[in-house]
Amino acid sequence: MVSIVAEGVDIEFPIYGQRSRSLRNLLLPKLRGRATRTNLREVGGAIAAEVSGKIVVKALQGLSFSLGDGDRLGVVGHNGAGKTTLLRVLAGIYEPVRGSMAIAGSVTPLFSLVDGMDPDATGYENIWLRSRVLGFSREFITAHAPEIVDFCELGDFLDMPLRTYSSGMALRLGFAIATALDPQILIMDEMIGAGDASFLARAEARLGRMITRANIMVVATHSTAIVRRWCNKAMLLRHGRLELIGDPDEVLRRYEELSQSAA
Amino acid sequence: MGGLRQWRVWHMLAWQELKQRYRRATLGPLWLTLSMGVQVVTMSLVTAFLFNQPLSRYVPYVSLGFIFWMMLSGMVNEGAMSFITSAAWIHNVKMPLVSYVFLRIWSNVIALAHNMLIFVVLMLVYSLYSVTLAWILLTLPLVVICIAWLPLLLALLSTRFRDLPAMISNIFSLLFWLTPIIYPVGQLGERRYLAELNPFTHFLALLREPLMGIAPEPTSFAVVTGVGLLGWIATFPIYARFRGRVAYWL
Repeated sequence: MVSIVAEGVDIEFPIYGQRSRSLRNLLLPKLRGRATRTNLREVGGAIAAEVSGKIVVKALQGLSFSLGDGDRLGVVGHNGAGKTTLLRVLAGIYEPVRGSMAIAGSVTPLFSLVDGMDPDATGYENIWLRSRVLGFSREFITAHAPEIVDFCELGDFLDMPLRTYSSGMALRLGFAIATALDPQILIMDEMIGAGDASFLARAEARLGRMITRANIMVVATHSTAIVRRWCNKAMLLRHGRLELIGDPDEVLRRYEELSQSAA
Repeated sequence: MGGLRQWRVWHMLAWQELKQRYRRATLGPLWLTLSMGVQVVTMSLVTAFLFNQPLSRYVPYVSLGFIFWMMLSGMVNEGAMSFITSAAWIHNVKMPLVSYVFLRIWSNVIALAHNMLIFVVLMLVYSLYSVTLAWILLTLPLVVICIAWLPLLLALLSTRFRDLPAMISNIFSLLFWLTPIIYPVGQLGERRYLAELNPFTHFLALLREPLMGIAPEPTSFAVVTGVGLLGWIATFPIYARFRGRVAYWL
């Protein structure tokens, strides 16, 4: 049984060496008897001074939700609302400062298509490098390498160093490798995709197959179309707090309302 | 330890780094060995003349001392920076943090393997053949295991306190003179306790003496193993407590 249960998750980034500057920023509006800047802006988490005088950015505050088998969650929100931070908590990169994040199942974060690739190594070598970094076993790579090679259609270029590739070609390779995965919990920051018009259709079919294989998928995105197309649940984050979670249509409606009132 | 189980990953990354150096320059990392060779030979000749020492013992002594010192200080200095330089990776890829430290340690061992070519040349020139050579197969892994906690601990601390890496490199240039690298311990006369209290003297002795035809002393084994044990005992709880904070500090 694959599941994710978050209870009251708080994430705070300590800001070192910014004490005096940030303190002034915090105090000045108050001294002038105006609203703090936090209330005026639509982006970012809350900036706060702890009792100790340490400045922290509250990236996520009191986040509680749960996901189970078959959930496809789309996370939406403005810049700095906490989307990427949430994904990194799910990936186990940030441990919650308070609260708990219980994850049953193995998590595959797919934050970038090319992390771990080496520009001086050949395409074939990069299939190995990248796969290893993603956590594939040797057996898995041996079994899937021919299929990756076929799919990316790079042919003889796979014997050439990666730096001779156009950025589109490098992405094709990265995409082919990433979508060979068999993830239990798949986490993506913006939907991955690559290639020109002819490749795009095949890429989408392949991505769809991978998402279907995954037990749980979480994607952060700015595109309402992507949420409508791929997700059966949506979450709206605002200043690091969970504004709404549930049916995609309802959440997206609220998201669009917020965007319009800000504009 | 998840990091040990993932040895294939950091072994591969270190290997890739090495291949990259070979790829476009024919001599690749051997250039580093060559410049190291030129440096140690010059240094040992000059100091041999200064201290009026016989070349046949002194040149290999200083050369080996310097080569092994570069490995030890490279492991600690690069290791201390390993989280900071891998920030992008740590934020995007789920890999045990120790892997980044092991990668730096391993790449220094690989560099040492290249520098051993200098030893081969010295061995031929000064006929340093001896059965004690076999000791290195035991002492090298022992030294690496017994020092590895230090870069790990310093990597944790350096990520939080960014003054540390500069401080560490300063301390190591100081230690270069306090450790008997370019002078024999005996030269210190009455003040030889200064060297004997310095654990690095013993780390170095375990590596250098076998290649010089001397069986390493039990004292050195005891000190190195003791430092290793205490170091790991101290580092484990600190690592367990703070590894979750590293991503925040970066």
